Amino acid sequence: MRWLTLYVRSRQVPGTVAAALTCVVALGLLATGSGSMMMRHQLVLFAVATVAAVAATGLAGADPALDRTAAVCWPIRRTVHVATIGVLAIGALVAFQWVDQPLVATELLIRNGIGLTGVAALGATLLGGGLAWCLPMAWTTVAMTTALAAPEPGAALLTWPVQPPGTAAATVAAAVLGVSGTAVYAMFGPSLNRTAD
Amino acid sequence: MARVVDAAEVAPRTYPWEIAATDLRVRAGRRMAVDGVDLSLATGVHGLLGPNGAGKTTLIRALATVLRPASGELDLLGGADVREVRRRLGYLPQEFGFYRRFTVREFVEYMAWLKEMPKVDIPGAVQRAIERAGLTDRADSKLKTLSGGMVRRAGIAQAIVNDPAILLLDEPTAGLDPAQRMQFRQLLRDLTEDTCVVVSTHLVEDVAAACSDVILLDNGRVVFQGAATELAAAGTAADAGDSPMERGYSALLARKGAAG
Amino acid sequence: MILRTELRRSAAPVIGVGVLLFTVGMLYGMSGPWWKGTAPWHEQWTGLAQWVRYLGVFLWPLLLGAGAWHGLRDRRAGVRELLSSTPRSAWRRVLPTAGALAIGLAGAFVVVLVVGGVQVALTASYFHVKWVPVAAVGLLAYLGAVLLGAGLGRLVPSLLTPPVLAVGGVAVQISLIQSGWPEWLTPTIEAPEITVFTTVSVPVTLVQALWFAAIAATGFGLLAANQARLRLAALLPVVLGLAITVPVLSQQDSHVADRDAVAMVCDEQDGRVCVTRAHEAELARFAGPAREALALLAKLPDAPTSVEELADERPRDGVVAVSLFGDGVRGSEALDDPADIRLSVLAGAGTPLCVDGSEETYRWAVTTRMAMARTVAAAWFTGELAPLPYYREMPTTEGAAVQRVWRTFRALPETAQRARVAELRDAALDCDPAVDLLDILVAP
Repeated sequence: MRWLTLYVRSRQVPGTVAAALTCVVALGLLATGSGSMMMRHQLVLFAVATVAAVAATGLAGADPALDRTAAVCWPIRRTVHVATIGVLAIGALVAFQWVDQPLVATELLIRNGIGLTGVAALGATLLGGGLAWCLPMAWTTVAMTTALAAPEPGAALLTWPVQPPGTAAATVAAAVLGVSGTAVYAMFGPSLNRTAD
Repeated sequence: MARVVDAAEVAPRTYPWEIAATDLRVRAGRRMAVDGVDLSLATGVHGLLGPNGAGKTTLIRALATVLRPASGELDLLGGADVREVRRRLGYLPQEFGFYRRFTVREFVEYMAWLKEMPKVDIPGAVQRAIERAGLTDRADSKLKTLSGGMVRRAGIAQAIVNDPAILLLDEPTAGLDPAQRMQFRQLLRDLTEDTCVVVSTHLVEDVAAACSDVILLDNGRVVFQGAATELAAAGTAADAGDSPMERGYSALLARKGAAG
Repeated sequence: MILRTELRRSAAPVIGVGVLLFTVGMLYGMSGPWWKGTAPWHEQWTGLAQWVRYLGVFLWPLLLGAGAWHGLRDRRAGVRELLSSTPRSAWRRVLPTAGALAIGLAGAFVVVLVVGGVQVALTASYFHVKWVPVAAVGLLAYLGAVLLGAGLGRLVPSLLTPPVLAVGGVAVQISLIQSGWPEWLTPTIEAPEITVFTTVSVPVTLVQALWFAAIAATGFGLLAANQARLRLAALLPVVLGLAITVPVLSQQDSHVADRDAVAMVCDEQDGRVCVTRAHEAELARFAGPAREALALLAKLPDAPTSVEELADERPRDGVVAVSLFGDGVRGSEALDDPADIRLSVLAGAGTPLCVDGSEETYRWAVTTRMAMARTVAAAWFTGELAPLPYYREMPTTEGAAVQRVWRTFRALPETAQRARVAELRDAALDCDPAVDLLDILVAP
């Protein structure tokens, strides 16, 4: 338990989780107050991306090189960390919908949660902890702009976050990204570039 | 190599001491880390010794105009205004921060520009500073690829780039290997003519070899100020230490501890 | 020299490349509304500038976050101790950084505009420079976002600042989309308003420029400020900006008619056929079939005498107004086939589709009935039933329903048919939403 406490503090998890949940509540309230069905849909999906992105800053500690010298089995712990972020992202939104009003199918939340968490983990590996948010945010921005421009967006593989539930390509994309992102992060850890900024 | 000298450099000095402090008190956090220090330092290399927490870094920071004194007088360069002092100041902090993606040359150029050196002089001065710090072959490598000692030397380079009148070095030899430390001491000797250098260090050997003057600080007060030989003479065989300087150091601190 | 260093070593090149890739990627990657309509980005200067700004709708929050990441730089590098011992004033020190960011963004913008501009220049018939301020304001807005982000990142130097700012930006954008506040506070332009016949009004552009400049100034001030009261002073431009722009912008119409674009260019031989100056290139193709349709329309009492492109005003008497790019509800590309052009002129007995923009008009039943009425009316002139262009492969206009209507209509005596078509024309010109055009044709 002690290890977990220290790990959580070293990754500044309390602050990160607090920020993520605040964002979720804010976006959720915005969604509830919105008149347009499409907007609410977008907002809830964006909230999933938010949790993944904000929580991803905790994926890298202050000194990745130092962490790497530890004797513990990192891959498992890293996988658990990423999985926890995914659960948090999905769970927070499910809880919000349960408390407030259902806006989006749970299936969509699960799909997006898994996919975006994987993308965030990939971002942590490629860009380091501080910039991990860029990848899920950028992807979501592309998807949301596409959804705004054309209500039935094509290119399902690219705009999978905003595809309706049951779109095969979107589900596959989310699953692939979720699994591969987690795997890459588990194997390589944060900051693929050893002397990263 | 010839360089252009501006009027300010060849103008005669109108002040007796580069650094003149009277009853200086400086706060660090809640403590009064520097508690009534009197100093008069002219050109030359002055070593600043003392145990951890003695206020050495706080004193250096006050001299570097980073901290404002809580009370007392501090006249740098004869009471010149802050910006003028900063133009002729060189400072290497103990925790030396740098932009990791800049190369050595770019970083020293940047610091030279920040010290308001005339733009035309900067490239030449930067090259000179890099050579004197011994980094010529790594001048165009990014700082994040350098080892700790080389980063420290880059810090020394940025401190000397503007040929400062006051040079403040806080732990300059941390991480340097013995050969580099000898180069550093030679650098200090080359500077002595018109620079007032204050070197704060734990390494007593560096002080012995390069400093003309030693100031021993303890609990925010000056315990001893004099030549390095005097410091060595203050120690006897009974004091702790592996060299005369170290014995003198422990002796003076113990004496001060017994008295205060 | 320092500027060059900052250009290479700061976040500026990454931000520039990012903006470029995103914009060009979206423009080419999707067959979105920017390829269609009266002002596609690759065919009209107006469209180029406005669609590029449209795409920034969710990009500027990312820029806010990227700027915050840059603003963290000093704190993360630990250089504050060293910098505070240097004489150069803070704002002078921050200037090259801001300049590098500006150059990075400007570079991206210029490349995008060149990529589009080359294509527009090759097809352009309508050249003007009114789009330049529109694009420039977009660039200023992006710069403002990056600088504000940098200032806020310096103010709150936590690793959480960039993602939280990006999220906040999206939330602000969405709440502006939903509420009544002018969306002109953000860089984006709403899609339905991007037509070649309107341009962003000059007062709006000016006020927006001031607003975004205020944001940039605040960001710059926050980047340079060391003391609390300087930071407070840095917030002043934004506060003032809000106080000024919100009242002014909520009173203005964002788009005004572009007089030059709407001016008619005409071909006078044998009956007048006109198109707007913006679409001058279409005149050659349009004139012939339009004249044939006009000749067919002569069967009407009070026959119209000229054909004009429908711009933004309702048609005058005696003029057939035709929309060249879709009919207002369906379709968005210009027609090629002369037969199609003829049909589009004849549709509804030479009337444009009556759309009043309310939800009612778009209800399926209403639109279908209107489409059937217009198809049958056009068919009366040509003598055979054919689906209108843009309405092909629709069961309603090609299927049994419209066949039945046609037969019922043709069963009427010839004079009754002519009277009803004339009545339909008048009703369509009146554009009364309560009147059902199909009833006019086939009701007993």
